[in-house]
Amino acid sequence: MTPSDSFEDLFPAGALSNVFPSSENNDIPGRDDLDTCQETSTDSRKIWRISELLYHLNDTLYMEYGKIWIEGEIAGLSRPASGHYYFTLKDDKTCLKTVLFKNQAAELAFPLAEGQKVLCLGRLNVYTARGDLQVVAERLEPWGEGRLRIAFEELKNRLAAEGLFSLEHKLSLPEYPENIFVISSVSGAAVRDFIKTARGRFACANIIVCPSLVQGEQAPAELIQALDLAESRAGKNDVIVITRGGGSLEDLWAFNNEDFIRRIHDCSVPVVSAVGHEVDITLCDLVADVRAATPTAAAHAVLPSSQEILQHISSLGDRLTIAYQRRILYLRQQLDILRHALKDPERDLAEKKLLLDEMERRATASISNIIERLSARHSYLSRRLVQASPLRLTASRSRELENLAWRLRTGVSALINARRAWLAALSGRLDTVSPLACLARGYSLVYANKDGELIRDAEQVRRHDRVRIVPAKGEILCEVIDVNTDKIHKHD
Amino acid sequence: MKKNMKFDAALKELERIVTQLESQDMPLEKAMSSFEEAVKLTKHCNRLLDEAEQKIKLLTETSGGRLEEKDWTD
Repeated sequence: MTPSDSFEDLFPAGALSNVFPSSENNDIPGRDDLDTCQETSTDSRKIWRISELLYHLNDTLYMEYGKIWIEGEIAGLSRPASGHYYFTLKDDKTCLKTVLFKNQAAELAFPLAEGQKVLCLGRLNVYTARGDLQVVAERLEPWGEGRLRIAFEELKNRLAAEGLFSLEHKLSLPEYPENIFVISSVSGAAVRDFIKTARGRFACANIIVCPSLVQGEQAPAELIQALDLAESRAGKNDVIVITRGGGSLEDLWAFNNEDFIRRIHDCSVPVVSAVGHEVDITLCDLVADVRAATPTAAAHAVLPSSQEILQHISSLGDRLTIAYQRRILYLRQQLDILRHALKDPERDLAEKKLLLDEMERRATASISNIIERLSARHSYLSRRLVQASPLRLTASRSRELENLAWRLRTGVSALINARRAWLAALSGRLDTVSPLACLARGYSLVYANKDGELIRDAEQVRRHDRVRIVPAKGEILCEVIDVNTDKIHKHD
Repeated sequence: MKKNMKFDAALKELERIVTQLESQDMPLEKAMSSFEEAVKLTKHCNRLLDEAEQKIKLLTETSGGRLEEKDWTD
């Protein structure tokens, strides 16, 4: 805002034409005109035209004082139809005329009354129509409250500039505190509200009430003392709650005490502030590690809810069971896979054993057969030998018989030996005809998966049947895509 | 698990075990012992919750200037 703006605000153009009828060009006089006046004066005395002087004076007042706070008592209060307030601000010696325009008056937080002490924010101005000095008020506050507010703002800005309220200094609250030190008035409702709410929360912590005045001149010292006490007794998992009910700025003034605020800032234990109602902000709220709007909110902030903890534990229990069962299931599946992997070589081995056994049996049977036939032949020959007149046996015949018997024995032995050799050869061949050897040559066995039967004919399977292909190494589980029964392979 | 384990510590340990069991390829024996431990912790937490008793005290100064804790009465 420039001086001329404010001037015109106060005195619109229409009003001015009457005030300065003699002005040569009917303009508001400016600096140039003033200089001219001085130069054209007939002697060294400086002569002002009144309107010029008042204009100059307003300019100077504005530049010199700007907006100022003035304290005083209201007298001669009047409010004409215009809606503006007119009154004088006085102290025990003198007074100042004051105007509070309608727009600003609408923002008054309290009704103005005769004799009331107020604090007034405004500009000094000389009313050019009459030459009266007046205050053009912008804001009025009840004196006590207003002074406190100014002091509050000043201290807040100073401490904020020092960084006392910055977030990096804030301590976090313990999740499950062991002791809660409540600094409050023992007779106040705040501490009762806090305890009442705390009783409904998880009862993990002891509550220790540290009594202190919360209002009046002694309050800051007692609050500091209570904080000292609480801090000296507090352990690692403890928390301090400072609480008081709502009140006027003056009622809450102890909680804006600089020493107390600095003491809270230096406190090594987390501090929760629940001072006043939600709308009341104190420096204690700003400097505390956590601000709670009410004592009830403070109890919520420091103590967890029993219900939430129970739910949390219960959900952990569910997760535990599921995770454990999954683990077991997974391990069981792993075991199953390994067992399947073991099963096939075993069965292969059994099949080979059975095959070998069968071959052995057949070989033995054929040998026995031969021996039996030879034995029968031997008895038959022996009988014939006996029948061939043994009485007429001569020595030579006897030798011949011996000879014959020897030949028979050797013949039988030879026969047995030959069969043994044949059996050995057969065993040798067994290896070559073993299905395993076939597999080694690149053939595979195909088994029906459901009954393990060897597939020799495509008609044994249908589409979507599962078959196991067993090559020389490993096993392949397949699903039949198509079956063609017409095709015949020529076997070697 | 220690008998006098604090609620906070017990709950944190329980959370740790559950998370571990959920996320790791744990051998069977370890999974079993972890599970047992976790069940014990859950019981312990529940017991602490049941037994939790809030003591409300008032710090007062005696005539001799000594501090005393008295039971709080409304």
